[in-house]
Amino acid sequence: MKGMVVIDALTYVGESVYLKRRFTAEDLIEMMDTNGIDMAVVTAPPPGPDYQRANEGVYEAVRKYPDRLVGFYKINPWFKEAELERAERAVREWGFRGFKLDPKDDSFHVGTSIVKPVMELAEMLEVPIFFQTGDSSFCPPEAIAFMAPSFPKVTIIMSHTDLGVRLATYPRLSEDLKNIYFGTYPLRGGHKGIDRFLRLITSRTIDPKRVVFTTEMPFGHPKFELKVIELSNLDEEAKKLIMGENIKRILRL
Amino acid sequence: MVYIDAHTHFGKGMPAGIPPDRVEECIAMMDRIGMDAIITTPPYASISMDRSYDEANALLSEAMRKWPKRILGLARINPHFRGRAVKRAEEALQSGFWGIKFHPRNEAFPANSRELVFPIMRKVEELGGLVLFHTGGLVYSHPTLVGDVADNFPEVPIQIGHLGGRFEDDAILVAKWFDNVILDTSFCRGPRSIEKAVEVAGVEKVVYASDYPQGSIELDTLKVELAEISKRDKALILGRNIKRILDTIRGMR
Repeated sequence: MKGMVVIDALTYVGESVYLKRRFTAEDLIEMMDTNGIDMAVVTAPPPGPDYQRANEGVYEAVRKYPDRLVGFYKINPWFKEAELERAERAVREWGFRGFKLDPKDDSFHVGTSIVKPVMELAEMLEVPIFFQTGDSSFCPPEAIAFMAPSFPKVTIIMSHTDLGVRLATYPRLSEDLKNIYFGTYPLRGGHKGIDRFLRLITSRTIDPKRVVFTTEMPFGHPKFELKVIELSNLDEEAKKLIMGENIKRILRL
Repeated sequence: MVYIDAHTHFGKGMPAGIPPDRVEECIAMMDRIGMDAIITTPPYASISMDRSYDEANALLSEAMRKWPKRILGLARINPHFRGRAVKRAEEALQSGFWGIKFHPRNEAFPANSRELVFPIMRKVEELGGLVLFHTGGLVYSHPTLVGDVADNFPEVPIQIGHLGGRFEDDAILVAKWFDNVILDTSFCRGPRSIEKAVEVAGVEKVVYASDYPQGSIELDTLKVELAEISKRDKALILGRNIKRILDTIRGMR
């Protein structure tokens, strides 16, 4: 992506039973360099339940590559007050810039009361939250849509899912959910390679200011995700926003 | 190398501004990229005013007559026609179609309907053929429903379209459990989905597909190329697996 800053708004480092091998900060940096990605948001991979060591690994990665990586603290809300205290310290003292929640992997519904204090903490600390959505009954996109208006000051980033399409269809609903942003992973392509979700941006049915580029490395492959972006005929302005400017604005980088 | 796309569409009135294909365009496209053959079926937009696919199936039959080794048609059947649908399936299989395509979501029937689907499956069992199911919806087209069909018709090769969509893990298990089930990769999430399918269900159960022209051959081939699997496995997925199944069907007739 010549002439633009490329920031991947969701990646992982560390060990996971879902990965063939440990994915280190060096592995991530190498993948970023190979694929022309300047910076990345990084968090702890699933599964939990206890993410303390994994979050420490993220902290170490960010400390090692402060100009390339930004840390999101992975919260398991089942640990309640103790976890909230750690999360607050992670932001105030360790330099984490956001939270990551994964309702499916940690078995909680996003609409239940244990999520509320996390949202309140994010509001107080003025940090965004990335929700893993779409794959399960734990976090259907509708549940985010119900919750988001109660926390209008909290920036919510979620996997793009069908909610993007619905917001495009119902502009008034979209106005009420201004604090919701969409990550691009997984892009799937479409006719002539133009991805069905990205087509909503090229047709201006979804505001490109609400979309951030994500690969979810190492679960997603940057070469594939970037190829879909390339084939999707986004105009330069939209591409700049999606590929880096939006997440820069959200994170005040 | 054998290069076969196991799930494409051919017919008039393609949806969402996608232009209709002429068979010559298909063949020219295949020649450009070195593709040997496509398994193809009418798209939803080819449904006639009477809700059948008679016209579109006839168009495809004509294309198959022109290019019998490269255009491998699956007749689109709307099972709500009951007796007439069974008759159409019989005529199609006897006139050179390689099998049947069902789209439970578009025509609103459960994939494992005893009343609507099983009579047609019995005809396929009798005459030989491949059956492709669109999958990905919670209602009607969940891959476990296709598993029920596979359980009842163990001699019929059954293809789960789109690797189960958002129910990828379920689809992979269904393919693992039933010998007669294969998974097609069209619109799947990415290279890791293919790796997982190979690891759990076995490489012989995975066939490359793109859903062309709604999907992109370039992108779906790239997913196979980027998957961390052996060269031999890639060759099987890109064509040899589906060729083996087609050879078996030819032998049954």
